[in-house]
Amino acid sequence: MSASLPLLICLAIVLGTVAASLGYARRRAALNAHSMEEWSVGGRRFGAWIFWFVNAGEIYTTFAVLGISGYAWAYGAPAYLAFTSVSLACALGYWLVPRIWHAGKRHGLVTQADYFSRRYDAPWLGVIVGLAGIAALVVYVQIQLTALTLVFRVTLGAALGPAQAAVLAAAVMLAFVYLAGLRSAAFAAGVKDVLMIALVVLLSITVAEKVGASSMLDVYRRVQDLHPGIGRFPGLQPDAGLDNTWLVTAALNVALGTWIFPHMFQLCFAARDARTIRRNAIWQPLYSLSYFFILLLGFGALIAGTQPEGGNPNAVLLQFVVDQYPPWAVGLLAGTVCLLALVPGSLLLLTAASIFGRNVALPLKPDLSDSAQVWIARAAMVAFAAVAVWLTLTSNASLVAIGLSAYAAIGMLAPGVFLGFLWRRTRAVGVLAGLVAGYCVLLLPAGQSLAAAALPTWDKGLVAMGVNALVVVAVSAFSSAIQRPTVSDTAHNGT
Amino acid sequence: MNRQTGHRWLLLVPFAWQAGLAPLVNEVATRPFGLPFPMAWQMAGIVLTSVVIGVVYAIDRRRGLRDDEP
Repeated sequence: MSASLPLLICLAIVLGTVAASLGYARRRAALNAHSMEEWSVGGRRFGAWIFWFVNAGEIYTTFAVLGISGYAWAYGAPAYLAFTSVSLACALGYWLVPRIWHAGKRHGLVTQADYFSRRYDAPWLGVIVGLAGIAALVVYVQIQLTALTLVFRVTLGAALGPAQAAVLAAAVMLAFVYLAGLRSAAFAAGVKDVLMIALVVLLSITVAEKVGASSMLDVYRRVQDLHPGIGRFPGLQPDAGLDNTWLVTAALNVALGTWIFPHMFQLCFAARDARTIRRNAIWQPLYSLSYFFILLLGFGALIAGTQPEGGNPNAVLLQFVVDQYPPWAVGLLAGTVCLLALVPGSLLLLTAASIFGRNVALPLKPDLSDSAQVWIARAAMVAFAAVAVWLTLTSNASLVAIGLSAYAAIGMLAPGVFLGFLWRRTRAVGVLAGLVAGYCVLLLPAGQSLAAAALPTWDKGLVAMGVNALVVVAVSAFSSAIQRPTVSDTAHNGT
Repeated sequence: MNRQTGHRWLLLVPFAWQAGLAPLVNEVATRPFGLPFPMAWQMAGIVLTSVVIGVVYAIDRRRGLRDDEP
């Protein structure tokens, strides 16, 4: 029966990768088994290749493949966000990431919350930052669960309800996490990238023929002839508010937030040296040229008249392949998307749990035993996955919109990081006040409507980040003016 | 620590190209290779970013930036 072939291929890809990753991780970790540092920051020995693969795995996710193709199909030009944001994040990263790495090495930091409590001499700030980081990570997990849910419904059939599919997706992700730590994620990320490239090549060289065009570039020509205005802002749906201003502000917010995600911050610690990081920053932008093919597939689906269930843009690529390609190609896509969701998803849950154990539970109850700490971290991971399932079921937003919400959430920690490096007078109380102000703009209905009225098509995350940063500066300046200089002013200069 | 780092301002060039000029290039109707001009512009910006970071790195190395320095 044809429906079971995609399922078999999908299972073979996922299980094969898990088995191979475990073998790889066991071989690599044999000398340094089970230390906390090995598990969460890879022993600070990531060389250029492995660092590049883990990084790529973080940037090229379901957000990129399903989200951007769906955005191209639904809106057109706004999908260029993918081209704009990655390279800007790399240019910024060249300056920022070595600073994070250096602070981590110098002070033996493991998590982002460690950085805040150390830089600002305030363990209580570490607790708050830890919780804020976890909130953003859970929204990011929502992206991966949304994608897994779609894949399960394609491969297992519509008999599986959305709720069951989402719970199953979360269970598979938790199983993936419990099987191993960061090292195996690096291997699985490599497998996923190779599969992803093979799949994109396969689909791209055949898409023109499938939609009656003569070449890839002809697909772009035809889609512009069929839909004038698709290639420029504001795109196919001018009422959606996705204009030039949106592109610029959303791209800036993504660039500023990329390294602030706790798992990315932690990954900065994992590099062997700053040279690894800088060389990576040179090559990383070029990888994002491959979005050319992702947009191509979205536009191809538009020409072919692909209609996903319920007009859901997230499902466009899957639907297009189901309509136009043989079952084995559906299985290959399904398996690859599973890895695209599972690899980063497991890393996100792992990071959230380690932050909770180390920076929230431990400071609040310092007499916790090691085993109690591990138990709490594991229970917390299940709870975070459950919240992500709940978010997945209550939202029908596009993956790009969910992604931008995650960036808006993590952007609340960006002023504390950037100002922490740039301005030595930045104070813990300022960072806290900025966070509160930023969340008010982001979450309170009054704050939202005020921001929307003042700066209509701006990315809401960037507006909230701006307010947050201004408050951090104002409160820090006030606080350092009324206080005598403390030891920390000199101790942290240059970290 | 007192090493010159003025060349690092070059890292703002990608921001000017990909964000700053995006509204202007949106009005260009030419289709290089059949692609929408704003898209071709962003793709060129990606290549430019790699070149700029590469140049900054080369200058950093020439000025003696060590592997353990931020």
